[in-house]
Amino acid sequence: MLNDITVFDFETSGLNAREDRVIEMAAIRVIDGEVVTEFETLVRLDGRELPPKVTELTGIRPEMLAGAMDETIAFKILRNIMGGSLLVAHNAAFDLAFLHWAMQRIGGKTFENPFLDTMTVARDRFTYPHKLEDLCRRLGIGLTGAHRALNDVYGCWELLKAMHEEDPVDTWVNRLGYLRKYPPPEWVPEHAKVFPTDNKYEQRGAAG
Amino acid sequence: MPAEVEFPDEFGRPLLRSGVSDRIWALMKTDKAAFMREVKRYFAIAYPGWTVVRAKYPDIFLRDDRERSASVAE
Repeated sequence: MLNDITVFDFETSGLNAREDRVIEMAAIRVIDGEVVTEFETLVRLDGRELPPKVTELTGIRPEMLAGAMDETIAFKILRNIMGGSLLVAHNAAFDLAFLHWAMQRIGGKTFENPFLDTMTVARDRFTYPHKLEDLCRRLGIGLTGAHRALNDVYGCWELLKAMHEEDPVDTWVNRLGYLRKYPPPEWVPEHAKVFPTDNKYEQRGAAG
Repeated sequence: MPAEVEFPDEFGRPLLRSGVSDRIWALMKTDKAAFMREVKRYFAIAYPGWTVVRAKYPDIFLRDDRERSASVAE
């Protein structure tokens, strides 16, 4: 199952997958452990303003988007790269929802690819926190420039490899955990098995 | 059989596929020099350290020269 995967990541103009837009996307297609395609582009925001908070988080400024790729072309290239591969993302519920709504907007379609959420696996295996940069730090994975799409993609790929080496992740395909204290994601793929989960915390004061 | 790398660089690693707006691509037909200028200017802002090596609609292929750029700057 993991011999043909696409690791991908979106930076977005907000958190609402239906209303907000992808402003940067990156993907690598990995076949038999080798990166065969690498893709990253900024995406033009049609007549929308980029919230300053997004610039603060990502470093992406409005002038960087002015000459950027048009949304339709960007998603067509991305879908072409993905093909029928297994989609991998950290906090996949977020990225998959943005992918779905963009495909709906552009061509009235969605995707049927199987997927794997590295955050769901990490929540099962590691104590809180589970942000990509936290997990990379914990596992000794170099991640510079988090919150730029291609850097996060490579961080996610390294995280997947580390977790898979420790204990194969194949059984986590199409499983999507969400924190019990919050409602389930508004949109998930039809083939997703969604389940509530809880963060695990390190025991304090256990020693001595 | 090993997987085939799409659009490899001289070391066999894939070049980065990226792109620009249709407005910039439109220059390709009318003023190729202006197109090249706009593309280079755009990537200097959007992805500093990456070098444009090839343009074929809708892809612009980039080589990762970030380490080289950093050592030149030091």
